[in-house]
Amino acid sequence: MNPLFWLDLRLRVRERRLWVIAGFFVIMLAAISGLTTAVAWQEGRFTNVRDPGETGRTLAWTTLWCQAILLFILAPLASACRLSQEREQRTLPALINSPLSANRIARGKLFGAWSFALWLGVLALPFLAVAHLWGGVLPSSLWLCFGLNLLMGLTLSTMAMGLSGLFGRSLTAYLATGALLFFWAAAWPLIGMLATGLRHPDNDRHVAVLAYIFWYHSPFYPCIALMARESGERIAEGWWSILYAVGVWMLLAFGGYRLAVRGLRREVY
Amino acid sequence: MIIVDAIHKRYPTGVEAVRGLSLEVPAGEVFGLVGPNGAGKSTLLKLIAGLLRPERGGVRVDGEDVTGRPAAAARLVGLMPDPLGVYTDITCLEYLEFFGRVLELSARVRRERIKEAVALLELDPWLEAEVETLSAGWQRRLALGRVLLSRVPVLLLDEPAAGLDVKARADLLAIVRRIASSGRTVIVSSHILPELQELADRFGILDKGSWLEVMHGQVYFRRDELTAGFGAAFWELRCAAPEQAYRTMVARGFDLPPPTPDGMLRVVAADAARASEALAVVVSAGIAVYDFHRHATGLTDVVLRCLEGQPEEKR
Repeated sequence: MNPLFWLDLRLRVRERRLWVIAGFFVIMLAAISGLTTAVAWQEGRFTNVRDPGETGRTLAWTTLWCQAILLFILAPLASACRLSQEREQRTLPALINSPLSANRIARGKLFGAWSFALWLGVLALPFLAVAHLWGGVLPSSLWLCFGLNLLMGLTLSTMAMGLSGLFGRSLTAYLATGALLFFWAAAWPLIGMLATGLRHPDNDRHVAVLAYIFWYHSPFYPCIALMARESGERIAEGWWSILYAVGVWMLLAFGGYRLAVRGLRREVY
Repeated sequence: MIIVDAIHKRYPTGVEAVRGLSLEVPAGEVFGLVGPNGAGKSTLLKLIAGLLRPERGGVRVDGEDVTGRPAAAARLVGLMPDPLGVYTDITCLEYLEFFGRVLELSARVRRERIKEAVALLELDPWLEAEVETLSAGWQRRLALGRVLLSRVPVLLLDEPAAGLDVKARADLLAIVRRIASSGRTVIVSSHILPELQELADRFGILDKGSWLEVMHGQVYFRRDELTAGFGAAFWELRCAAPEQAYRTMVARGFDLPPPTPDGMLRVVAADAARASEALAVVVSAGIAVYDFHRHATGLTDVVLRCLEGQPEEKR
């Protein structure tokens, strides 16, 4: 086992805050599940119109969106100081003056970051399983969205870790990660909305191009597209847009990893 | 053996930390690196450990080129840097276990080496304590334990006793002495000169990235040269009439500066016989002598004189 991953696991298991966050997330999902079930039960009793599918849909999409937002916020937060913290506490020279290569150090840190994102993601599994039992959502949409959320968490973790390789201070790394995520998930799509005003009124192809540039790679796009599919709408550009999103994420994750390795190699200057 | 060949390091800020330094440290020697803050001591140690890449020159350890190659250097060199940089939120045992894994030691070898390091450093009572709860002295011992796990032939200790109280300092230096006696090559950088004087076999004084000359053309000096006063030791003399004694001795060809304001005379003599002659001259002049003893030249004296631009030959 990678020694840095080994250390990370030991530290995370002892980290009380991690358990508090996990507990909070589970309680929140449990509350949502409870309310959704209660509403379904009440509707069934008083109106005699019982739609278990509606309950399943509500539960599934609420859980998936909570999971997506939690991963979007916490996965990068947990990774944004991975390397900068080593610099701050001056433990990096001891790691670099060791048989570990920069790649192995980065991988160890990456696995640590991923384990946190996966842990948060997996907490939603029991609730999604209940939603699956209620029905109302195509299993393919449900589990694909779950997988894509996890992938998004892993991508953001990798990107944040890469950025942390550039900075000597954790605060700077956090701010840079926050700024990048804001730009990617909020500012860039907004710019895209404004840019659609510039398109030729008779040319729909322009909208598709703009969508690829500004929206289809957004961390939340696959979730939105799959939810729309469940409402009977067609996924824009078919499955290509989702594949495109995954491709862009992979590229960004690879870039983040290379950035982390480069940051470690730059320690010897 | 460590061979540093005309190494030159300039930081991105433009500071020339090391300017064409050369050094050879044979196997088994303890070399004391001395100099003021910012002299380039830590930079030199990092260069030897491959953690910095020089613009010119190179470093070879046991025949292998480790210049700017920390992973290659790690097989031969263990660096205990200053500041230490220890993970504070794990226990001491986890810390050693972690670095055992970093060094890619098998579980059995890891257990053995941790046991040995713990015994040598007397870390037993603290194994289950979190590192951040340890005092500075124990944290330094722990960091030394990490370096010892690798069993490398060369140890680089940057300020191993910095910030420690007298007892912790003495204990730590005793441990370093024990390590050195096991035949490892050790380079120690320290500001605590009396202890370093006892520890090292040979010394070099760094200032502004260059070696300072201690005597004409000589930049390194051995401990026996130091204790012998570089062939011209001081004898300190207190007497009833310092001015008269000074004039008498100068008239008889002795080399000494005028008396200090508190009336002390410092006679420079190559050996004890020449010093006795000086004493005899004063006594035969009828001057009462209160005290006459050899001034032991310490590392601190030499370093201060060199930094003030007065190497031993110019005194």
